[in-house]
Amino acid sequence: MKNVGVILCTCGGTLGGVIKFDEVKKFAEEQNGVVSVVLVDKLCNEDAKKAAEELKGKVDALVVLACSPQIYGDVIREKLGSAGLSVPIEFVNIREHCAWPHKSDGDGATRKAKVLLAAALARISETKGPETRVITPKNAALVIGGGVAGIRAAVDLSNAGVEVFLVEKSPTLGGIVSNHVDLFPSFKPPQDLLKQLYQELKETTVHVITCAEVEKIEGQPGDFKVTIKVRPRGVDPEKCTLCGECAKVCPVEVPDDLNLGLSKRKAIYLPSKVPYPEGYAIDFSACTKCGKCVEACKQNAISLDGEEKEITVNVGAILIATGMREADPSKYAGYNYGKIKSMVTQFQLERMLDPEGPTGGKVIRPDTGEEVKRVLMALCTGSRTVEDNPYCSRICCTYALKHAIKLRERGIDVIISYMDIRSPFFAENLYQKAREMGVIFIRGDLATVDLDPETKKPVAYLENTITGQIMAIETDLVVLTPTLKPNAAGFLKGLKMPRKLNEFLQSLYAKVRPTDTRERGIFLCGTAYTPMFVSDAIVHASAAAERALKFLRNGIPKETYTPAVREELCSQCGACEEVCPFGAPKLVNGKPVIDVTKCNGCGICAALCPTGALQLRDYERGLLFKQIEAVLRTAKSLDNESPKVIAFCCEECAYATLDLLGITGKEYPSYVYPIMLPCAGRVSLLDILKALAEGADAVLVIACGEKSCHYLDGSVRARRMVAFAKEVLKELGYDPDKLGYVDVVSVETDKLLNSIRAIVDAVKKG
Amino acid sequence: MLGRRLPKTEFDLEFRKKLEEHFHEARTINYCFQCGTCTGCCPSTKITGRYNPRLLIESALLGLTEDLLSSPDIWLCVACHTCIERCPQGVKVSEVLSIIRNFATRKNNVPEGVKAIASQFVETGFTIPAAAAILKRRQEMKLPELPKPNTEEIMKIFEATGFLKLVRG
Repeated sequence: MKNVGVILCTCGGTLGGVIKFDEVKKFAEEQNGVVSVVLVDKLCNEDAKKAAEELKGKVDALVVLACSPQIYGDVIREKLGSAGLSVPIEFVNIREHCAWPHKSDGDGATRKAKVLLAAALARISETKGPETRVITPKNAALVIGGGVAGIRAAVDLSNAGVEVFLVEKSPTLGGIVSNHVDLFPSFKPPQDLLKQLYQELKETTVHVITCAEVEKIEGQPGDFKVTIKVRPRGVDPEKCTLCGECAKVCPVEVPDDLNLGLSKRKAIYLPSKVPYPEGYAIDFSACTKCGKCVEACKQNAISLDGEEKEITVNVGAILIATGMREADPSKYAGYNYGKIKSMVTQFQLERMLDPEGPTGGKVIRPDTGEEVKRVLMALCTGSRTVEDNPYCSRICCTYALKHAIKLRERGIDVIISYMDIRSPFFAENLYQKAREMGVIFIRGDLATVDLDPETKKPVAYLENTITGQIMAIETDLVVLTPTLKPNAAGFLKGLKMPRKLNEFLQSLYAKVRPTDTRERGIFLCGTAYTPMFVSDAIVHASAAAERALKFLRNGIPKETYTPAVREELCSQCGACEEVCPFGAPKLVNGKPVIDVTKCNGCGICAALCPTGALQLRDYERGLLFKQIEAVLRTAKSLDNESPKVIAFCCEECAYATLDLLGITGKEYPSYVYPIMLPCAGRVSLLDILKALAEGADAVLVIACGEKSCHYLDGSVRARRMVAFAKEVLKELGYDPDKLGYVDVVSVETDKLLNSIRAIVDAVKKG
Repeated sequence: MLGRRLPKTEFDLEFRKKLEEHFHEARTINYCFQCGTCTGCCPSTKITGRYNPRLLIESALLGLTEDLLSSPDIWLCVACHTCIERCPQGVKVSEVLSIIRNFATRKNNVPEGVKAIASQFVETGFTIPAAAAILKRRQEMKLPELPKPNTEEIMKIFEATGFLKLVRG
């Protein structure tokens, strides 16, 4: 039995007009386990010292009846602590949850304060507080993907003193921008940017591993073991002088993937205009190992008998910067891409516009080689479709506008078929400029393309939705703008790494954690997350590096509320593994093991564990039942007339919205008693049934906004749990309207108020 | 394909340039992104219920000159210039339309009503001559007589500029 002290704060005397403090004080003194009750005026200020001195040494737990712990909890804890009173504290919010929202019901507010006090006493007698542990992550990071985002993140982390491994699939860094002629909307050459990044990279100790792919990721956050497959490069970049003699003698020609198949290259080739590391590479899938290049190389840089090898690195954090690509337009109906040869994608057009590219900067029809006079560009190829790609790729309008301007500069007529032009912020300038230069914009999506039987030129069919005219436009070249897709990343298999909008990787919380993922210690940067402009990708990469650094420095939270496992109860169903948003529980030899480095303490697993084998620390089923009993029994003993409503609310947005109801003075009945949980996902069927069985007239589950749940899936889980419980109630002959669910972001006071009113109406109806 | 092909759409891409040659600021139509502000604020649209300057600009941009120059709608603009005031892209809508009317007139695509006003002008020197009732009231109010325009002189101008030929065919 703990010796509990109770502190009552009148908030500078202001709450006394509603709450009868003498009554509450008397009530507190009568409770079992309470050894001392102190009434103060300003606990957040000078009175903390007074209260601490009075209770010091006498108590080993505290219940504080004051304002919202979300607002002043830390201040009060710190003031009491510095005055020498460091004991576990349970807060009862008598200001935002009692006095303020029940201003015109002083008796009710006083009763509610007593009821919540009783529940807090029931709770504090059993809480254990968080487990503390210190896990120091390994001071090393792996960056997967060597495009601009990957390089930026690697450099930032290395400069901060982290050992960094930068893994790149191709033989050179640079990624998608390296074979572009100019960036957009800036029209600057990306080679300048790359050279600057390479210079920064050279000044660090980053281990650059090219021709390498991540095979699998094992281990825990802070201590990942990553297997990397490294292909032989064939050319030692240290010795290579880029003289090119090897490529001259190489007899093998293959389509040049850099030029997207528009030209050919040798099996030994320069992988980029600005390669890093600076050297040729051999494409061993094409090489016949004839040995001519070895003879031609005066530097002895070439070796044909390298073998694939596997290396393992041990890192604390992983950054995914695997980038994006154009989708293959041949699978989108109507365009006849592949059949009609006078049709290219924007990336291919970019290569044609390169003076050093496959066509020497001329825009030609790939089938006849003729220079083109008219180009029809179609935007949104495959984008914005409900089923396949339900998103806008964001940057392609600007990309197309850049090309339209460059084509107009060459005197080529340009017709752009579009649904909407989305050129964000100052990319609008490109739109203006393209219009000024006489680009013809036709609002209407390109529907089909065929070849004119006489002229053998492509004819594009579309409706001009502005004039209503059906158009058949003959053109020399059709340029498609395929939707953008993330690059494949096989290593993600087995990780809790949901992809959003079909394929791009989802961040933990788009607004405040745009680079974190569900997997603690694994971060996203650049276009693996979403299509973005180069400048944005660099900012995103720096942000990801900063988050990774914070993780490596501060590590895994030192205080955790991890569920305990009672193995003898476990039925090995694996539900915990399936429902955890973070991949913390794993069945090992049939028994769940919680990875403390991944657990966030939401309690979703505990709510859905069918046997009760998992119990969330300090939110165990038994403890929650005791709180429910304390609330309902105390409420009944104080006032047998009024109804009783239990409101399970998460301690994030739900609690904050309840606070806001008080702050904005929106009144609701005082017989709505909140019980706080880490996440609404912790509410189980049994908790709801227990409340009703103990005499609650209704139960309301209040969750965070479903898209902004702090534990990702908690609100959705809670909604489903409530829907399921309603079915059960119907079976049992209860009125399912007496169970409610509402999700609110912390400003939606009216939405919450309406839900409370609905549940109260259901109670009144009887 | 059933062997029948849709006729190919022809664009007169030179039309914007022709407009610009006649009126330098006609180049502003390039910036039109079809928001419809001009149509929304047009008093003529409110009365006719069909006049749509946005569509006329789109036709001009696409060089769909055949339809544009024979359209009776280009004559519905009252040149109040509200569209110019309101256009977010700075397009000189009503001024461009006056150039387009000039082009249409050269092709003799002039509605009869407009022609009648023109011949009135040629004959009297007024587009809207004063009615008998107005003249009577002027007398009652002891206002001076209206000046008589020198129709002979005006006629010389009409002949020299070719206006007479346009009006009388």
